[in-house]
Amino acid sequence: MATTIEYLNAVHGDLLDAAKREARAGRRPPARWVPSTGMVAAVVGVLVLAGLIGVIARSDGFGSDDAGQSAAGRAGGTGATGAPAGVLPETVPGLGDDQTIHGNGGQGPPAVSRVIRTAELAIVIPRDAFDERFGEAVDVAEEQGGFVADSRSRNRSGSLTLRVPAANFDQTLHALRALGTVEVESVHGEDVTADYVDLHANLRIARARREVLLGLMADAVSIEQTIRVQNALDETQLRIEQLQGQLRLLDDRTSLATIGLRLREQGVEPESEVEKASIPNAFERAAAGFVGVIAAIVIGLGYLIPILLIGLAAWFVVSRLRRRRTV
Amino acid sequence: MNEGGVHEGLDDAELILRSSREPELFGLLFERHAEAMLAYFARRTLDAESAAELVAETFAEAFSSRRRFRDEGVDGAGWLYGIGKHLLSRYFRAGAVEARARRRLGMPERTVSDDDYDRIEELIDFERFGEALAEAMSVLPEEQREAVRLRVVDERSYREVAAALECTEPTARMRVSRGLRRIAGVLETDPSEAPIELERRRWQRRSST
Repeated sequence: MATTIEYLNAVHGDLLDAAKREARAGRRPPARWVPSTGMVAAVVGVLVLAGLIGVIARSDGFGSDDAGQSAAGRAGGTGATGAPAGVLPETVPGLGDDQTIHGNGGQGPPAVSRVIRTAELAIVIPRDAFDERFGEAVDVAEEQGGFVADSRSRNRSGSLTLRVPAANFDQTLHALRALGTVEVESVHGEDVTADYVDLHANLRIARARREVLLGLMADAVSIEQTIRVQNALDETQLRIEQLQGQLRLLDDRTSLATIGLRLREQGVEPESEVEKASIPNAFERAAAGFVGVIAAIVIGLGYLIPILLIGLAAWFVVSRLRRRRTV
Repeated sequence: MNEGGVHEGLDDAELILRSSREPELFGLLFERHAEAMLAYFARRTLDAESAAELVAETFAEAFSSRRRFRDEGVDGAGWLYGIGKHLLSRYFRAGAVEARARRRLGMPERTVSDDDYDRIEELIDFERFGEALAEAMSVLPEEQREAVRLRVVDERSYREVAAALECTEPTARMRVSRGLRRIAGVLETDPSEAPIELERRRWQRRSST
């Protein structure tokens, strides 16, 4: 380097050293933009903040969802238990001709809305009270005219599936809540009135068809005619039985509400979660968690981006003004 | 230099382009332009140390971003001085030379020796500024103006300046350096926006009240 200025000679050496380091490392030269630690920290900070905001925003959303569901459940409840006016006009006159399809004491035609009511309750009970409270839960079901459809217990925790008349659904829940501290409660109501009406209409048509076929049977003159009518009659009869079966099922599910009850003593791990701790489940939960985090970040960014843009604009204006003032 | 022989015939743009595969070729670019650039910065900053640092930072920045260079219209030197100009304006705004590019490359920060001070100030060629300099000097605080006059106009050594001002040599150097920096601000930018001008107004306001 042909200069007498030592500083330049030194920098020349430094520059060649840097070049040699780069050549030795055999890597591409540093990208034109190397993010500094501060920049990385800022980006991570923004993402974490976005995630937190997203989680808060989503948990709010879930809260209102839950409220909506239980409200729907309760609204449906009054529909099934009583006879609210005008929920469903009597559009299907004459459907109740055949009382036999109403297996549960002949509740009549579906002039009112039909709702399948289900509830999930998780209750924490005091220590050493499991047997007693488990028994009480069974008593509650029986007092309300229902029964225990399924029960399991292990290690001072257990679960019960109770079936109670839809009319006593709310009272049953009320009584069950008194067993301990409610940990989880969700109430669900599914309106199946339309299905019910459809089934009844199809049933009426099938019955009418059977009547016609029976008439033809009586009029049949040849063996061939008789066999053909008989086949059609068999099909129709089968169809009628299927429809009746479906109606009976629907009847059962709407007239009897289902309550899933989980009981556990304080300090005892919830039974279901112990069972769920398997590897495939872990992957499933990890995947769901990942998607959840990304979703939360996206939601959070939605909240943050406008604020960041405003902040950026403000910073730009302020730095402009300051520069003009100081320079 | 060893790269010299084979690559001497390459122009700046070719040198920069080839340096992306052969990084050491960048040293040749430094040899060609460093001293002229030092003079360029010295005349604008009127400060030997800042000028030297600006050269180092400009080449470090250019080295880091040499892959961005496209041989389209701007020749190699133009590109280099473009980076330099950018850093110079940042220097005038911040009052200090950045060291970001040098740090990124792991280059140490060098200090300017006493001999270098003299040599770099020779590059400034103060006579060229003539009247502008004299006028700019009038706005300096007394002690800085005196230091600058002794050093720049009377061309005395720092030891003599220190003796005349009855202070230590480093103090004398600092006064000259600060005075020149302010003057550089006046000469480089629109006078109404120069920090020196604002400073002067503030000073006048203070002295008039």
